[in-house]
Amino acid sequence: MSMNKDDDSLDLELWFSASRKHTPDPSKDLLARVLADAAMVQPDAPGVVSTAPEPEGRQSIWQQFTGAIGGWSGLAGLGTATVAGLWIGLSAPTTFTGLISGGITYTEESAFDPTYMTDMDDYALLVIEGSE
Amino acid sequence: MTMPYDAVSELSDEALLVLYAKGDSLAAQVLSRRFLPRVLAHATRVLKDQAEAEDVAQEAMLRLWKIAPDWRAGEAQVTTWMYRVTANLCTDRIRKRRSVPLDAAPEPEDDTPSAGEAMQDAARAQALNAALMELPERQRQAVALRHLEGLSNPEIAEILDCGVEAVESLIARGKRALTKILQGKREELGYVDE
Repeated sequence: MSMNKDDDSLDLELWFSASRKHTPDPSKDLLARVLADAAMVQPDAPGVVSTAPEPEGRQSIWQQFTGAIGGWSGLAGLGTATVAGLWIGLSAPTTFTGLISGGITYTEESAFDPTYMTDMDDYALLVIEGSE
Repeated sequence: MTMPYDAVSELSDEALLVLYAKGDSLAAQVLSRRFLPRVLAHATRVLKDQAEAEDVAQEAMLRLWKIAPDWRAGEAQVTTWMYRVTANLCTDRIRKRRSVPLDAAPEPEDDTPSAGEAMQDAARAQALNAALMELPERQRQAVALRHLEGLSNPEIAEILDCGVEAVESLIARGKRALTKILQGKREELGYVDE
């Protein structure tokens, strides 16, 4: 390390020199902290997997099932669909006339009239087909 | 394959950064031993607070680790970059403690023994560090980088983000002020002109 001895620094050089000699060394604790930081942010460290790790061991049937339907959110959707299906089934109309609104009467001809079709839902159409 | 420590320690700063970015654990050790003492020394002189200086040094090293994968070879010297980061971190710390007056910096102890060269050296070092604290921050950084860290004026200009002429002016004014401050300490510390 070369120091400059130009202009009026000769007088000060003894002081600078003394200061250089008494520079504190980094403590072991500080060095350890710095190396810990280095290890923490180091990319592509050997033996360190940067992507998500593989699941350990065999998966249970329950884990395979939830995994197949998209995890817990899929399971919640499946539950909702099940309850909705149950409700639709239980609350289905028991008579065919209840399906047709506005006092429309059913005849063999009108059942296949496109103008009536628009007033019926899919369920009613299935009932009609099933009754034939 | 792992390189032996001696071989790694002889590599250039940039080569070490590349090694570190590729996952070599020795590179971090070598870079730490190479730069940590220097940035810690500069931060200690500028801040005159060991705990703060250690925080700054650790943060400067952390920034080096983070930039390693994106380091562009040939654009800047790692040494200059490290001092620049350290200088800026010190400036931030000083701005945060603006409310503390500069003359609150501890004075050298009056009861320092005047006999024994080692003791004189220690006292001089202490007196110089205290005198540095009386300088405006940029003068302090410029003088310390030039006369204690041994950097060139163009390097200091890059670190302090100013022109070389400005650096020369900062150093000249800083040294004049130091001379004036330290005049009164000569006799009590046993300093004699050679």
